[in-house]
Amino acid sequence: MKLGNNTFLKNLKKDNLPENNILFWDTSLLVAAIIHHEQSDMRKAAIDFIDRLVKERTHVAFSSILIDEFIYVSTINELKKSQGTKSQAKKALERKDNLVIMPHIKDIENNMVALNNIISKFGTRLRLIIPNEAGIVTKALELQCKYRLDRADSIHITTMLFGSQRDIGCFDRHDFCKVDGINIWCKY
Amino acid sequence: MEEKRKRREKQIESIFKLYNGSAVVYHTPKISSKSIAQICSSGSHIAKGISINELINEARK
Repeated sequence: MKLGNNTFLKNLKKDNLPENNILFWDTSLLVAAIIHHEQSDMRKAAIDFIDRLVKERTHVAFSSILIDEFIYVSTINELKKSQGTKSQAKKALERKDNLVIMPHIKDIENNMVALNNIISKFGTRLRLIIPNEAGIVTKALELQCKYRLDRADSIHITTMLFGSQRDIGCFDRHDFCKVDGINIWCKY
Repeated sequence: MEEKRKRREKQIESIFKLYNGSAVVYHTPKISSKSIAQICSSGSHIAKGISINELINEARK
């Protein structure tokens, strides 16, 4: 795999803020913080990182597709607990299997409450961007073809690039490093 | 300091203007002094037994 020409930044310090003090978010950061196992190092790193963003009063922005992606990942993760594997969980969700899904509703709801609570910590320093600009959609499709990115990742990246920004908080090194010129914060 | 902050806020606003109104402030209820670690811990993996009403009430304080 050819890696893009990217910068990986592990720490957010006062003298090392994202360009323009704005950081875009990928879903993987919130998934790591909320959904990953309690003892996971990735989870601890994500919590520590978000904590710093709150303390440093960093502005945060993300595409509305993040909410959709978070719901999906959270649902699959919960279903996996009863279904054993991710693939079985996906199949149960595709079948809209009531008996499998309903016992997990409360847990999925807990994840959503945690997501909202994190978001609320940023107050007016957080912007939700609806990726309805034609430029965003066109570029996202281009990135999907060029780098074989999935739909959500391509929209996260193009939403950020549309505002001429390059800094994204992300734990998904594999996919995001395919695109050149991005500052990926919180490499793990 | 205040002037610097205002200048920065202005720069940030000009960036969000590029989105032609599709960058909106996401309004969520203000939560109390809960830390990020506490918030994340209210996620499902260790939230068994915590009442959802309790979490919602906390979020709406």
